[in-house]
Amino acid sequence: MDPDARTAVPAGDVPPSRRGFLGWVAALAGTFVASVAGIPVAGALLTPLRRRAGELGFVRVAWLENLPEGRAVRASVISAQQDAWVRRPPMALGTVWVIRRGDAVTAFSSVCPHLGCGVEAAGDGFACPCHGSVFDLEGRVLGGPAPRGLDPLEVRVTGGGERSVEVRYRRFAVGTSERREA
Amino acid sequence: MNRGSRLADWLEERASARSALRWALDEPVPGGARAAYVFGSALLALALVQLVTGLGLALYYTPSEAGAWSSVFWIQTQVTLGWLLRGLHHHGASAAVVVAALHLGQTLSFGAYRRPRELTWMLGVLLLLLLLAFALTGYLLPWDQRGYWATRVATSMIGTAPAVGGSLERLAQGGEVYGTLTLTRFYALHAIALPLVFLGVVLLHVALFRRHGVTPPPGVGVAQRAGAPVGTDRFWPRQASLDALASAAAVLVVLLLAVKGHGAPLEAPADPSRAPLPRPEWYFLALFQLQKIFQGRLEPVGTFFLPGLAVAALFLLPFLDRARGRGFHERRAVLALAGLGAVALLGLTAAALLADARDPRVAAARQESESAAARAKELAAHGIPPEGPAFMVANDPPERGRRAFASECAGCHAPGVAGERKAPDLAGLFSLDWVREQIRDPDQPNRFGATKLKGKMDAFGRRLSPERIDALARFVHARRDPVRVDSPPDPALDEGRRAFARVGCAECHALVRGEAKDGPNLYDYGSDRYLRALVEDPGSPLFFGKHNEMPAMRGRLAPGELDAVLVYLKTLEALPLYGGGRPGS
Repeated sequence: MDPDARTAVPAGDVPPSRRGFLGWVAALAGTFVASVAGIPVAGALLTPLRRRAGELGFVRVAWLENLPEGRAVRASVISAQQDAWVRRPPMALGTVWVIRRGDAVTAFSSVCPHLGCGVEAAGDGFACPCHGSVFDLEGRVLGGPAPRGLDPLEVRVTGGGERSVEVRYRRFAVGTSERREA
Repeated sequence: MNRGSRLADWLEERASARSALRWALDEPVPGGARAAYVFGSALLALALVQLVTGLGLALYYTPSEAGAWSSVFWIQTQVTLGWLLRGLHHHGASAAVVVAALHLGQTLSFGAYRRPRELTWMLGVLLLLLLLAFALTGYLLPWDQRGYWATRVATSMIGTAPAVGGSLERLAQGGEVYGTLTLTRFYALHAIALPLVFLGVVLLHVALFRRHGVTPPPGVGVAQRAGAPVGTDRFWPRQASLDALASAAAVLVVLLLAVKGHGAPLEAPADPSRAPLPRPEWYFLALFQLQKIFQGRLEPVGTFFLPGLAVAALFLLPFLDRARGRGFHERRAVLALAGLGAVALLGLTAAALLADARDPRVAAARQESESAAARAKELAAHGIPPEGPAFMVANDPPERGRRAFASECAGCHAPGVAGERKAPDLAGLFSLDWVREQIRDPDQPNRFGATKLKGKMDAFGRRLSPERIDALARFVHARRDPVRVDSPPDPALDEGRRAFARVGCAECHALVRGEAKDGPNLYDYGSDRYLRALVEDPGSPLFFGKHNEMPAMRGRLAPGELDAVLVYLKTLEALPLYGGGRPGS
């Protein structure tokens, strides 16, 4: 159109009540378009809040028959790990101490609750080679700087013939008397 | 004064917000608001939906050979509403092409390309080409069979261009193979370069549109020039609400398509070794059909000349149209030509769709790709190895076995060029039909007819009734589970058991574990163990002994490979026999 016609245009003759109605129609339609695009994007953005970090299930660390009675044995936790869609081949995640008493098994993380060194078996219990914390076979602190006992791990024994000892491996924060997952 | 208008004043003083809004909304619409004007806004709305959903997809998408399909599969199955995100983005592209065509048709028929709007029009044609570039680059990104092959064919087409074709194709491919570097290149174009260019051109296009205003229908323009009073609207609220409704309708259609298809299709991961029947997305089917028409030396006509001519004509339309006025009648030549072009486009697309609907190969290929996709997704649900989904599929035991069979076994077990065969056909292996045929005529060409075993076993079809053979076959077929059928003896197999002894089978075939006679030991004939032992060492006295011709596969195949071949062989049992052979046929 001609540039001068632009200024000569009269105001739209839409009555006020109809203006309001049309305004609502436009706003509703606009909101609909924005929601259709926005809601799934919000879903994608907020997905991490819904998906918990993949907690490790139980991992077999030993056969029950192979464990000596009443003595601590170090076992490796070897498990496949998933990062998003990638399933990585089995790798060692850490080591645990397992102690068999009859058909029951207890397990402790080998991470020292003081500053995270690896505790060793010593005498009738465990000792940390770094700062000298000492624990008994039940994981209680007998001496040294450790603020709490060794961290127990959930254990289950499954299978009929050859029974497997399975541990749910977790990591705990070190240096605190309170036990919480890292 | 309420808080809202105080905020508006504050913004007005600092950013002229209210004036800007008023300027935007008070745009004059000569001739009044019209449904015909809605397509531009609807297209803009669709483009914004593409931008926003594309952003959501980019949170997860990984442009690499190992990560592309996997991340799309992850979006589809693991991300909250990820399937909807994919579906909106996928179908939104189709909707944008449709609305762009409508927008083009409307502005062309109203003569909106004429002076002084030539540049607005040419920028619009450029936007249409950019839209198609978005579609082409985006189609490859899932790296599934469909996108891979469709895009590969498209880049090969570029390669046939005279003189510069080869270099252009290498530029598109990005690396030495069609792979990760192709993906990073297409992704950078699709998600960064094209959006930036598109946005800039859209801004120019819209700015020029505002400069010259909407083009009313030719009749209104004539009346206006004649000085007659012409009703004029402002953009707000009539045209704005029409535009908003049209945008919502377009997005609603996209939403419904996305929900109906539960997202967008995802075929099996790209496999460079196996081409399905590649087909482009529907809006490129006309080009595809054109190539079927122009073959041999005429190929460039369909690939480059005609499409190039059409695009050039569209682009230069403002200068090609020599009509004196904007009226429909005055421009009948242009309108007729444009109509002809549209009909040709639709006709070619319809012809391509029709040809595919009639072609049984297309249906078969579609079925095959559906089952391959289903299997790939089943495997991927358990996690994808770091090597990627193509590796995952290739190492799926039946597939790996099929490949190993093709290279190690098919030389004898599949028909040669003249249809001759050196070893038994294995379709239906160890099924009841298979056993029955073996007893009826072991020397038929599909069995041992071409081997040293020919004539070693009687063709019982000549001596025994079909019922007798059936009973024998049932007895032998049940050997795969000897413990279950023999202790205590299953009375349903008694007739076959008696026949086995009476007609002389037992003279050559032992039924006791480990006992060697002249023919194969049938203790657990057809079981997994039997199959493995037979494949590992067919020359053992428990199998074909001195009559054997087949190489022992123990040591010849890697252990994992042998397992895979066995898995594959077991899938053959479900196949119908070669030639559909049945007793007496």
